[in-house]
Amino acid sequence: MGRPVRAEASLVERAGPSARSAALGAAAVAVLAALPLLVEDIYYQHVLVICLVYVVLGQAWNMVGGYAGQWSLGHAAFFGVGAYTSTLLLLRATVSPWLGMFVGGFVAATVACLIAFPCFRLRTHYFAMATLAIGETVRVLFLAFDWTGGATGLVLPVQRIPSSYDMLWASKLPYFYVILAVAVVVTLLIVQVERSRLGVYLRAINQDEEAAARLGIEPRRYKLAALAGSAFVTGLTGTFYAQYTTYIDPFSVMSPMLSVRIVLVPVFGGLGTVAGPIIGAFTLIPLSEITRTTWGGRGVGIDQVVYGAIIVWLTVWTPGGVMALVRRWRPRAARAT
Amino acid sequence: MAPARGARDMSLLEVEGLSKHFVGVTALDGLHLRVDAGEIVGLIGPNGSGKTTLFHCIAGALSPDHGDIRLNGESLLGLSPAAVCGHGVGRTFQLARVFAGLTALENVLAGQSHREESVLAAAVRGSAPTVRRRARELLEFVGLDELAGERGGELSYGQQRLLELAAVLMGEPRLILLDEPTAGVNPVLVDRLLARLREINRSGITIVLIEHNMEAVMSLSGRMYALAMGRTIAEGAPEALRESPAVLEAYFGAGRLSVRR
Repeated sequence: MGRPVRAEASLVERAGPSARSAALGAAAVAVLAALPLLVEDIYYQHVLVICLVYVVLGQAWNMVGGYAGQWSLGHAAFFGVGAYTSTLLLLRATVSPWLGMFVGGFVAATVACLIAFPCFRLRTHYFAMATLAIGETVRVLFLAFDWTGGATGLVLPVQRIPSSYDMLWASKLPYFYVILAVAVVVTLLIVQVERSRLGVYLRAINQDEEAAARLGIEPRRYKLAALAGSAFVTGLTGTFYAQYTTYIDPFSVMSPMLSVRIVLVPVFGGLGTVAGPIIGAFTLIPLSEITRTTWGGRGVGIDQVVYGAIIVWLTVWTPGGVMALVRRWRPRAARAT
Repeated sequence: MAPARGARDMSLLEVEGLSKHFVGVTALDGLHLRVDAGEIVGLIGPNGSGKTTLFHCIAGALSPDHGDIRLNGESLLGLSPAAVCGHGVGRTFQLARVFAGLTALENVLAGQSHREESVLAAAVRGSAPTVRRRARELLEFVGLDELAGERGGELSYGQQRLLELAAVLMGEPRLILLDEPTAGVNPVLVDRLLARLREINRSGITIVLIEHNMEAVMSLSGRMYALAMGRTIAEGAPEALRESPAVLEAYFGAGRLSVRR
């Protein structure tokens, strides 16, 4: 007798938060889109672009690290491979980066599949260590290769600025809108994954691989799909970054520090949540910029020390990420599916 | 003693001469076993007699050194655990394993049939309405429908056992392997669990269970095997097995079999 009433209630509960998040998301995108028009200072526009770059990188990493639970510490390799692929295509064959970014993503995904083959035999920390090592190996290889410019790196054809074909502009605004579009699309894709069966399977694998396998979920298959998808987006973002900074070398696009920065974003914001990487990027990047502009000039790395200390303090304050706090504040009923 | 059955041409599950050695330990030593479709078969035996290792081998979690495992005449050797599940073999673990961070409903949905499912299709679509309805029905079947939105980790141990069973049933198995289903479950839930297992069997699903609760296993099983030292030492109806000298000796050396855990 009570059943229909309860079923109705749960329907309302389900529609409620998702409609609210959709409205919230749309409002946030609208505000963001207007922001660089109001803030004309190039420096602040730059910070906004970098925030969005890390939103995309954080969402991509979250797919494999947060949802599937495979902690990759080698994502800088995918980022760099994407950046190098499109840049080489542009320099050697004048292929537009608009196409190059997809080729870069595809090459990064291919590298991910090759890495996955040995690495997915390893679990948890061992997987993380293996990906860290492979990421470093890729960086050292790119230092040694002549055809990638070695340690000198590659300069994009800046003499052609501005050129939409070459994805090179003098103003930050076009870059901002490109990366905003990418961030919106990638976030919507993650929302889709979270709602799909794939989301359930990935979280199941994350929590207990054997228990997932006995239910017929082939862990390797789904982990591979998550890693390849994540690498694709990361490689594509690498292309964007190369176009934005107009110069790449193995230190700037493949450093292990970059891998760590990517991981920090969803970890801080909330692993395995859609909002996590957004919160993480818009907290950590401005924070790092503030410490850099305040203490960076001393030349002794004080800014990094302060940045690190603040992260430690924030993590102690919000174990499980910001989204874990949000969830604790929310009423229990909202969680029912 | 070799199994005395064999009048029928092909059993649902045939285990032949199965051996598995770990470093310094022989867990299975040429074990034979047959299960016909529709049966409930109980496996008993002292600790270390190879029961759980046998389940691991059938389910693809371990690969045996020798011997064969056939389901409907088709060998399961070399298949991954997920592939064995795809062939219609479900299993529960000795300690219940549910996904602690997923809701009860999601736990059951994770068990839906993965046959002919592409990753892309899984990413594009949520669970079909019919699948969701079936998941709800299964939760109701094990008495957890009220807790559909609770996380698996928040359920009691006995409820986790029932949830695990519901998730396994979601894949529409032909055969389920239950490793000590009543262990650690409070008596009220044990009765519910046993009633559900009988119903599941009546619906046409074959059950093989390892169980130390003698009362439970004897009331449930139509036929039982006793294992010791990685071999089947006796086979037959529960009452017959209780009196079997081989079984008594395996447990005690001598004496009466009246242990209950």
